[in-house]
Amino acid sequence: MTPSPAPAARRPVRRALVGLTAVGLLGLAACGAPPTTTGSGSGRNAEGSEAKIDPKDCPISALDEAKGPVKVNLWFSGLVDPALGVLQDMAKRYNASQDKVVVTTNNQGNAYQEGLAKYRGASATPAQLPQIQYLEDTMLGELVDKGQVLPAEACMEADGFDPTQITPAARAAYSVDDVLYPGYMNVSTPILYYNKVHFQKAGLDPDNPPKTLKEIEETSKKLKAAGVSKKPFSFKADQWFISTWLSGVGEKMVNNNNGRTKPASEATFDSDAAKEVFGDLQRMDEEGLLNAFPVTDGSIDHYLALINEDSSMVVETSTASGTIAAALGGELANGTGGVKIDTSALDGKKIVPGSAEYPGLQSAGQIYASGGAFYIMNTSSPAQQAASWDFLKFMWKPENATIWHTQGGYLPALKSIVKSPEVTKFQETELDGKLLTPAVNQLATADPDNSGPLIGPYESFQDILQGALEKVLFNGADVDKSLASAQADATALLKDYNGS
Amino acid sequence: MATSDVKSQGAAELAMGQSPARKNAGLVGQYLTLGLLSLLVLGPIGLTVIQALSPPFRYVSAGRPLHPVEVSWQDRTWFSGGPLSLVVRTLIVFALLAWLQKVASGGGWKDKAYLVPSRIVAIVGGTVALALVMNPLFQSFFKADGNTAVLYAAAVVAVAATQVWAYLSPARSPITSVVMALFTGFGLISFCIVTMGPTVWTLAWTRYDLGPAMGRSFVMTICVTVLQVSTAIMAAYAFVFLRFPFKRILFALFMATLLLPLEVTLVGNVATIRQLDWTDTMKALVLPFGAAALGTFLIRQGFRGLPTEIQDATRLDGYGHVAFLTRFAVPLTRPVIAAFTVISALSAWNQYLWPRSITESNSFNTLQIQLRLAAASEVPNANQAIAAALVAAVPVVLLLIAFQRQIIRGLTAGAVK
Repeated sequence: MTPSPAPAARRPVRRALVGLTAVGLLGLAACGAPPTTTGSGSGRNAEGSEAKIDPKDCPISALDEAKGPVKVNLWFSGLVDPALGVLQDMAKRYNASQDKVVVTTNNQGNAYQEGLAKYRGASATPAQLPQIQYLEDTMLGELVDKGQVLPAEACMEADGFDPTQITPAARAAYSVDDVLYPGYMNVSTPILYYNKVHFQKAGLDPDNPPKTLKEIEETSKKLKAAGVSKKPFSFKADQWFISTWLSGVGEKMVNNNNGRTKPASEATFDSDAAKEVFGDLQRMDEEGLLNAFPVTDGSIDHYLALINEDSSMVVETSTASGTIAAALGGELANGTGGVKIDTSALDGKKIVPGSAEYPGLQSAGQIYASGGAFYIMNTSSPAQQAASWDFLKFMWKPENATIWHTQGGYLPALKSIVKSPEVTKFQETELDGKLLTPAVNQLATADPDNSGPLIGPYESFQDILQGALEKVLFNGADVDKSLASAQADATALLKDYNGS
Repeated sequence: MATSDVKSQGAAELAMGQSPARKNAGLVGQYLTLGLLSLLVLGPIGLTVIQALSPPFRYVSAGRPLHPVEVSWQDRTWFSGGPLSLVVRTLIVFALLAWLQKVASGGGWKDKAYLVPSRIVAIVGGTVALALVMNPLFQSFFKADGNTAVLYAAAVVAVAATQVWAYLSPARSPITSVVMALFTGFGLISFCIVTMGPTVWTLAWTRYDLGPAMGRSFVMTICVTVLQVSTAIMAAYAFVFLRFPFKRILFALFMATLLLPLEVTLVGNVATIRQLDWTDTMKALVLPFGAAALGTFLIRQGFRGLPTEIQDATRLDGYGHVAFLTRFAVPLTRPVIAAFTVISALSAWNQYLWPRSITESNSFNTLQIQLRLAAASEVPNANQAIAAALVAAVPVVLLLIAFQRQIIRGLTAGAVK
């Protein structure tokens, strides 16, 4: 049926010819000019730079000279409702408030990693980058190294916005070489959520939750002994908690002061403190006190453990207050509204949520500021850069920063609103406000010198630490060996990234 | 037993050594097995629908995981929601009833056996009755006034009443007919309640902007499918009916692209699209998928199955390549082409990674991107994401129903040769 094949003798020659041509074409394709990653700025100097910011870097006057409305495209990822709605509403209100700038918000994915991947793909064609990007705190190192971010502190200085009104721990966490990079920060921190009813049943004080990791263990033992929960401490095995425990007491995950004085070149997390944390968690797991869940996208198992009453406590981000309020508050519908619960109200209820400052290694509230931040890209026109700052400045207005807290669930990044009447009212009348209160307090008092690590290849770094944690918790691996091999891997990663 | 009975129906079974009782037992067994199997297949879909109906945490708090603990019902009637949706939903019910009557009459659409008064009464009367009885039922669900069960039963009876006459023919006993009618009524009423009663469907549709996204996905799917099918037909034609040097090796190279999944070329292709400044354009969504080796291969196999005599005969009759392709080759391999059309349309419709990589503006999102955004939007309202996924699945299900014969033919094409 097919036409007769070519004579057999000629075939090998032809094959060789075609093969050679194909290889040749591939070769030609490989010679094509590779895309270049260029921005007008430059990355961090391995020697550590003394360069201070220059207000002239931020062309704020360009907005006044611009003709016609300036378009600002904002990419975000990792934001879910209600925070997502707050951002969209913020852009809408800003657009309505003036006629020089039009901000459009575009969601690039549910996870921060998706937004970072989108940025990496687009960074080689700077003209197609957005004007503002919203990314996670851990991505600061990579963004600064790529040199496409305009340090917003330049704009603040040029515009007379005093950066000292920003919560010190938040400012420190988002600064590189003492220069604040993002133009606005959505700060969150981990806190402890717990079920007051279980504490009551076990004869513990419902208003006196554990203050340290060791106390979590003791409380868990009591809760388990009293038979109120099977595995009292629900734990999503996220390396963020490890990083917070360690950095919170001043332990450094990487050298050069957690990568903050100079780019990190060596991992240093294999410390006594880390061995203690990993060891405590492993022991609690073996004794049936820890209800550990692996990190998967969108997983709610660690919340469900509280709802099912298998567990009594969980550590999670402060932003989860809304979810916790919605998930656990369901049982409070009859009258109490979940706020100002006196001890007598605990009887007869299954779940009454409470929250407390993050139980650190030495005391409660030993955390650093995390969350997401808005970065102005230096790859767009001066007018667009100025317009971007103008929008972010709009978010810094106390009333808008308050909305980010009361509606979006992020912590106050402005010192002035922490004790404002609106915030106080929110904390006294709303369940999620009440749950957020310890997070607000611990951020306000957090030590700015104990910021989290600043690492260029943070994503891969996280994977290594995460892998060690999972091995210890789910495969019963040896703590010392896992930490040592993870530290070696992380050091190799940093060396590779630094090109040495 | 009367001799006439034995002769007319029992003879065959007796001859095969089967008593009527055994035959009935066998039938019951068959239906039970089929029922169980269909439950296995449809059960998960049912569970998904239940999950879509109420928010997850309320299930858990109420300790009744698989029961809708709190469905928010719409305050609606059959006639609310605008003329377009009214016409569409009425037509759907009408078509369902017409299909049931076609099946009940035992004939095909072309026999027009359903065009008798009793069946027309069942189709039209059933539609009207349903539209009328749904109003109090919807209201009862919305107000939770406690009369829902009674109204439900009354509605089922009312719709069933319109069907009994039609089900009596051909030669059914009144009891069978009534049972069939009741099943019809129950099925239709339940279908309408589940699809139109809860607010979650409309909520998911509007909140996640599924309409425009679905429109873009449609355009993309149609463009990709048309391009892929036409390029595959032409390439396959060349590989089968034309003679040119390096044919086999070129075909091998063609097939080699099957070994390169999208993920391998993704980074490079995205960079190309960016350098062309094609992000957020339909051409970026469509053009990279303009040709598919799989289609070329499938259709080539189809073309190779054509007897060479046909080509020779058409040549003698003075037909050129185009005429042979369009008048003989394509019509004769229609099942294969139809099967590939469905495969190509489904894969284009379900694409996520590529569109996600080259769209930046949310106003250009395809349906799958919107679904992904919905999937992790808000934990307490996770049911809305499930509802959105179900809504998005409707066009695919319709496509499958419409093309099921071609799909099966395509899957078995070449199985017996």
